[in-house]
Amino acid sequence: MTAAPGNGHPFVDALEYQSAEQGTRPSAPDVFAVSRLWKAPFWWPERSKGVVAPGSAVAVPRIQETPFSDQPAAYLPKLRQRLGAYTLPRPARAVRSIDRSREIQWLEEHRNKYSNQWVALDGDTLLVAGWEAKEVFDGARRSGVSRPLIVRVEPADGPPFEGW
Amino acid sequence: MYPLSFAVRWDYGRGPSHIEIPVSLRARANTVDLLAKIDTGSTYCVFQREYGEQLGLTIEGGHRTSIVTAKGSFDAYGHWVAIEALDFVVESQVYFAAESGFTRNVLGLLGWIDRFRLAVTHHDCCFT
Repeated sequence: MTAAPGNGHPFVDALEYQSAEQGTRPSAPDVFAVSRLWKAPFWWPERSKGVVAPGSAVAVPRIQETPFSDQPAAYLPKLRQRLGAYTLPRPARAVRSIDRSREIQWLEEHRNKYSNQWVALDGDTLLVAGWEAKEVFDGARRSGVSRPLIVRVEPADGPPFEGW
Repeated sequence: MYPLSFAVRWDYGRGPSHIEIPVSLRARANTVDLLAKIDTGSTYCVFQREYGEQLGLTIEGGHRTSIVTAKGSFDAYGHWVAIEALDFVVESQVYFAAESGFTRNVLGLLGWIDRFRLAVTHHDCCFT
């Protein structure tokens, strides 16, 4: 896997503004607001060349909880008013993920026994199992393990996965 | 020929039934670790409600949408989280099912698959 090019520079996949129907450029304050909100340089996608074509189908961002603590509060109401559901590509950052091979192996070996139950695992150690997610999450927290893998065990003889 | 090179190879094993990988979701300084299936037929990343609750999210406070499936539809709420999987972290809007007991955790096109060049070699049960 490789982070897709273009994610080296955050960009708005598409924005829907009322002005898009007139084929006009989004206003500078809106552009600046998005840039400030995402703490990143912002420029208009290459394909639009700074102008959104009339009637073009674009995704509409909606600002929800964000990990940024210093959101420019003054911009948020305006953005919420003018934006909708969004996907805003951000750069993919390289990290070192936890190796879950032992947990996956444990699940394969105990799938039948714990079918449809929630389990919390630390390596090949079962921390807690139960029929209710909350009790398992609470039990895992009480165990003191910082990053348990918590899953609802799928039955081995379950129906084929077809998305939903 | 269109040669491509990749930084990571992941062997997902577990026979031919599906592709499932370890995922961490982070929001509000909370983290949950789970397994999720990669589904190129899914528009969004969708997770069980229980994981969103453990992240401290007010599920119904998110962006409400109705997701259509072969069996009907279900409601879900979008929230912005960090997704860590396979040595990469991305920040995306993902959806948490409105109903408890929803059993799927899926990495879909928008928010995860669209962030990578991804090649699946199911013959070898791996992707890169």
